[in-house]
Amino acid sequence: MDNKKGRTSWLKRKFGFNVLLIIPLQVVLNFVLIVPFALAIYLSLTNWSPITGTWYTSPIVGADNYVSILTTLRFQQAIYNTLVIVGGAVTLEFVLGLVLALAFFSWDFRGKSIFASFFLVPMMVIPAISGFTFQTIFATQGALNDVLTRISGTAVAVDWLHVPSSALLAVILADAWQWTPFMFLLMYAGMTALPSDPIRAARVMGATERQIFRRIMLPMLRPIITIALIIRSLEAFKIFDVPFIMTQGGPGTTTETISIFLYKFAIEFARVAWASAGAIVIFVAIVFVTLWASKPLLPKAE
Amino acid sequence: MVDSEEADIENEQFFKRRMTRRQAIAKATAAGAAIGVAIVAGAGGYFAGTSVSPGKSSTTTVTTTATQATTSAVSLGATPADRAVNAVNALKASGAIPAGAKIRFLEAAFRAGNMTPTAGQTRTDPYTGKVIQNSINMLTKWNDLTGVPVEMDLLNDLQLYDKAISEATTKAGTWDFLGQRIDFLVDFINSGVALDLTAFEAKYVPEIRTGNCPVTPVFAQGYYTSDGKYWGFPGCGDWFSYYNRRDLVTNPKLQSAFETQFGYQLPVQGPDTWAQVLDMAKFFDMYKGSEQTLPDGSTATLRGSYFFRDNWFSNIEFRIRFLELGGLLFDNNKNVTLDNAITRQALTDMKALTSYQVKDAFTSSWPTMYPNYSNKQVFQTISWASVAQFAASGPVGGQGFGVYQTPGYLVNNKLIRVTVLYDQTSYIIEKYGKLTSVVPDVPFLFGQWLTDPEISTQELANPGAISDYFRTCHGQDERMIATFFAVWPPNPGIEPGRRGAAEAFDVQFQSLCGTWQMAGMHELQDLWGTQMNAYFTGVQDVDTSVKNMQSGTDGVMDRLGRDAQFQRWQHVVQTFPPALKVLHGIS
Repeated sequence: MDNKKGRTSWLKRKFGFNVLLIIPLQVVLNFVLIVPFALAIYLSLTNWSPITGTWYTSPIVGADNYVSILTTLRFQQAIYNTLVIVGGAVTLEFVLGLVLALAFFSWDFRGKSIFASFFLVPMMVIPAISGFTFQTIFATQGALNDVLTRISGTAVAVDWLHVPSSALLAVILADAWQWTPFMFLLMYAGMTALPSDPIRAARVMGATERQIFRRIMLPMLRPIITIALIIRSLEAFKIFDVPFIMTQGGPGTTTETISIFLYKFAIEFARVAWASAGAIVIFVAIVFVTLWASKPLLPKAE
Repeated sequence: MVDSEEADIENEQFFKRRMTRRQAIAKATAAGAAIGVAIVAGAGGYFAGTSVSPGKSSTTTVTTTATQATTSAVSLGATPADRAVNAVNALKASGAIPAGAKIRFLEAAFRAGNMTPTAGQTRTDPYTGKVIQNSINMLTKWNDLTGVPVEMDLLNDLQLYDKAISEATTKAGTWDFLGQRIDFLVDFINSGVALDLTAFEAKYVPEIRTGNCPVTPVFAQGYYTSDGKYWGFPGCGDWFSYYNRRDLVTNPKLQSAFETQFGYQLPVQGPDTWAQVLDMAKFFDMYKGSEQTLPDGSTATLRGSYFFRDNWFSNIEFRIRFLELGGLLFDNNKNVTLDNAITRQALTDMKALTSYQVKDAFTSSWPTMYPNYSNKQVFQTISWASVAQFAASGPVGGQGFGVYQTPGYLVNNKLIRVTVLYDQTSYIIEKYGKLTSVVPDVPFLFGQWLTDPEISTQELANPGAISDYFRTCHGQDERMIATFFAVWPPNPGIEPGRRGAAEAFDVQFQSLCGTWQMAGMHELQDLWGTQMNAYFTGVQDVDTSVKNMQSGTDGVMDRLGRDAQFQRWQHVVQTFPPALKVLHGIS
């Protein structure tokens, strides 16, 4: 009895009662996260496919899947395509979001809140729907060509979605349309939360608006910009719905993203073990990139 | 064991917050550990296939054999439908069917019009304004006869594959009756999700290969594996038919202009060769753009052709051309033989046609195509056979579509035509379905009833049906001919004087080749389609595409068993049409 009491006291001293209370939840979370993750790692070391047998009898093939997937051109192209989409879309979203936020922050006009709400609408659209909408816009006989035909007076029939470069561009624009409001929201919230004293002081000392923005606001916004870019990049890295609906990864595989690639091979072609290796590779890469990107935000060691 | 009174006191204390911290920690830890253990058990069960899944709370022993025969097939009834209904009623009377049982049916959304849920409703034809009765409600009819309801869920047909494989993985399922593409059947068999129907066939005799109206042999071949086992019911014998603007090809001025340009007569009866298809596409594509003037004085905005070029259809057209040119997937040494001149020619010819195509062909779907065709914006197109009934009701319909056979290639001065079944659909019984697990006879008998010669004719011979004929008597049935003839024009491409669609089917049966049934067909079709479309759209050259097709196919064959795949290919070879068998010296 005494021993038991002593042990609890030690735990209480060590962690505190509040920490002890969350242990059960942590245990559950660990099982939810760690067990599937461990299974994915295990499967990636086998050659299991649902169409060839059961997972637990599937032979271990070691790192074969990793070697195979890393040397597969289609996987490499999926990574490249995803990086192009992430780079293009997130940059566009950031620039547009920042400009819009600055405009809202700097100018007072009637109906500002209504406009702000209006800007947020694309974010609420289901990505599959926005993908379909943009497919309709960029179809050869779609809205964009129709508008260009009316403007130019000659028949315009650009094949936006089956020329590799324009297909990628179309996907980037669709993503930017949907997620620029998110950037706008974060930037605008960040700007309204900035302390007003340094800005007022700079203004009194004769700084121009441009100088105030570049030298005062932007440095103070840096943490929120970093967070916004990390969140959006991580999300964009997983992009699936929009390119899947607009181009199905084509023409060829020029708009096939990592998510589409993994979906096709894991789910459609039942190559679960092989695709698991791909997913693990991507996971590890994302963890490293995220740690690197968030380094400036982390507290520095004394 | 905790006394209930004690438990009540404990609960009261808990809610009155009189519980000590130690008690709270102990209870929370125990609860967390229990949940953790449950999750591990659940995950283990999921992968071990002990049917721990939504809707199933305990391990299920799956029944995979037919119930003991108590009566002979003949005594159950004269037709497959009679036997099915009587057998279900007998099972019901014996108490073998649990109360509240229902058949869960997962069907491809595009086929739903065949039987439900739009069945029994009417629709207004957008072109003619006529009110058309959609399909009769087959599922209600079955329920009336047997008292076993059928609940249908709809999905994209490719997603059906994913669902089936998922259920094979978990060895626990929701659906009993699954509509699927026949070329995926091997994966379903290998994954264990498809129920072996051999014993059921022997017991209830659905007359797939027997009787007065068997399933067309080339289709039926798709439901039997090389070891003679039987795995599925026919749903639709899909293949391409080819259509062009009959009003244009019969115009004397256009005929004259074509002959001047190409040195031979415009093939009024439909092109025999792919070279003629290309010439016709070139000729009529001259009138694209803004209201060009045709030689007959009318104006038109016209593209040369609209043959689908999404991965799936490119792949099917490639297979047609590849076989017609004399290509075989394997040589006698079990080597994949895609990296050769035949593949290159097939792809190069397809790309040539692409220049005269509506560009949306790469990304479009059927609803996009129809307006193009019926609004006179496309000269020629493909479609599955029965679909023309909808297109024919458009403004062009009154002037007549030309429907013609699959074009061919001249090999050794002999015209070889091959029609590849591209989407032959089947119904399999899912081994892990809820009702199947208990009494598998019932979903089997539903399939037997649905595909009975008479019932399937009722199903197909109505303007709402979208599936093609699959039994030999379908083409001769007056109801079927009346329906199709009512909306189809006389067919100029088959034999003058004969009546429309039904004859087209008869003739086209002669060039049909069975479905390419091999393991991993889903992956192979994606691989081939992706690679050839990369070439068609200028992403890479033909050599790269062909080499990638070869190496990717080799990879699939090695991974899934080259010997077994070769055997399956031999099974396909046996379904080759006569001309192709002669070409390859196959007896």
